[in-house]
Amino acid sequence: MNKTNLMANVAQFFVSPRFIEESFKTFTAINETFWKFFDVSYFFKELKEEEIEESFSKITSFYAELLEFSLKFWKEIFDAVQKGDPDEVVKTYLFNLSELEDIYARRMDNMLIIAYLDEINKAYLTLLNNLQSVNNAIFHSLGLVTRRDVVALSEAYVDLKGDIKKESRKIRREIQELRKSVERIERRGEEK
Amino acid sequence: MSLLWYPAIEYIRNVRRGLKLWEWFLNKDVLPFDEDRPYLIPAIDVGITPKTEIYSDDGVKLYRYNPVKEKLYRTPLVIVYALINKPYILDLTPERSVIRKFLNAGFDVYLIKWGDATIADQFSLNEYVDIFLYDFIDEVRNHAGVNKVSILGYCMGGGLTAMYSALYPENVKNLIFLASTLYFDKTVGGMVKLSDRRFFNPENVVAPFGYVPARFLAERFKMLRPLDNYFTKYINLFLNAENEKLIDDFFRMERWIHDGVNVAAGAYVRYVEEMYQNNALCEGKLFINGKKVDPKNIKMPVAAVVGKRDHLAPAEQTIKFLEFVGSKDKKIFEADAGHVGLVVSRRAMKLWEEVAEWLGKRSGKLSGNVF
Repeated sequence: MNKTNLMANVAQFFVSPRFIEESFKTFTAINETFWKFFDVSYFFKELKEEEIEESFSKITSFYAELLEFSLKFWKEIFDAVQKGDPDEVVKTYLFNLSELEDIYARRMDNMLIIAYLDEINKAYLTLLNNLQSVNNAIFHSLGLVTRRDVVALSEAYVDLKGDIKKESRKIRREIQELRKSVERIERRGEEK
Repeated sequence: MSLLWYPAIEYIRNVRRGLKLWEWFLNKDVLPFDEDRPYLIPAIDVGITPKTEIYSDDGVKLYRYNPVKEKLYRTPLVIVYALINKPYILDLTPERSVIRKFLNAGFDVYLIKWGDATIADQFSLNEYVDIFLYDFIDEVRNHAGVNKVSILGYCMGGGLTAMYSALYPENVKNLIFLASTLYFDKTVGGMVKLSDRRFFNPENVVAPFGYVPARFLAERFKMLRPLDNYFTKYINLFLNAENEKLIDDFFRMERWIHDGVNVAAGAYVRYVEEMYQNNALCEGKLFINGKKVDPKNIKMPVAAVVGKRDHLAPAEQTIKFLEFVGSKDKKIFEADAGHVGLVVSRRAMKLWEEVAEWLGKRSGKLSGNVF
């Protein structure tokens, strides 16, 4: 194959409709995956559209309030320092800290943040659970007791305790009824 | 003062603050820590009102506080604490003690302490309400020689109390819900929102441990106000380090927050699923040992003690429950305090005098000396 033919083949390869189609599909897939990464409705399908909107609105408001807060904070601190009383500065600082906490708590109390927190929590607990399962498998293969066995034993104990309580209350009620009957009989005897 | 001098002055003040804190720590021991409570907690005195243990079952204990004056009311008061944390928050210091308020008012005060659940305590709500609470209230009735008792339920204890009172109203004379989430509405936020069933499954928590570790609950509560709980309160402490009384109070609270108790798996799962996720108590969908828990059966006088700034059990979630009970005698006591401030703050202490007065009027005043 001479040089001209090779160039022609390469050019043909790149302008082939199939190549263009495949490239377009791949690019679209990359683009979609990239956006999905930022799309919370993809990760949290259970979240309603309005909950997501409310969460974003709260988070945006948080940044706006934070900006407003920081301007106010620095002004107040500056004024307090100028008064020359270190205690006044500390007081101003502490007051503002508590205000910051209120802003943070108010704005972060939204379903999106909660969904993220619960998801992190779930990942941690699932990891622990899987470690426990491996642990249980090893212990059981060695003939040793695991948490699972203790739980099963304890559940049996709780059932037994419930049954005993039920029976003992029934017996107590019967004794009381018997006592009342005996008293009634005794009273009748006395009357006769 | 020159702006240039301010940083220098603040710096030397910070050195003094650091020294004061160091001095305070040198004087204190640290509580032993374990896997469920991996925190360094200074051993500071809490819960010092004398009490006597009168009954115990599977680690659950019944205490009677030693009276400080002549008993003035026939009906004793039983405090049902939450399954989480320890009840000494109600008796943190002699000046800030709800228990002392009632003792000083002339009540006979009992306390049910649930204890630290282990993997061997697979109790569910059925057992806590229908075995423990039932038996312990029975024990108080026998001990005090009365047919009915007044019950004060704090936080989750309020939920257990509501269930018990709905099942056995004949044993309850008066009912007080203290900072108890009883109506579970997501719009109020807080823990109810955090426990949304779409994202939170309580079974996931108990699966790896076999119980709910104290640290898990402590961190979950702290997550609701993260900036305060992980950052600002420590800055606050440092800046006030020259006030020894404040350091004492701060670490008493720290001790209570981090020195929690483990919760039994079954009780936690059912409580979250039925109450937090299904609002089963208010909607009459809750069953204990096959018996329907109907809040309409709560016909005795009921009071709700709530904090306006309570983010763990928002006031609305206690007050709203009063619409579901059958009682005609209802009262709301509201303080400008948070969940814990309601039982430890100076402002709330005044409120407790009013609560004691309300309870006193409904507890059968004794005319003669009973001791």
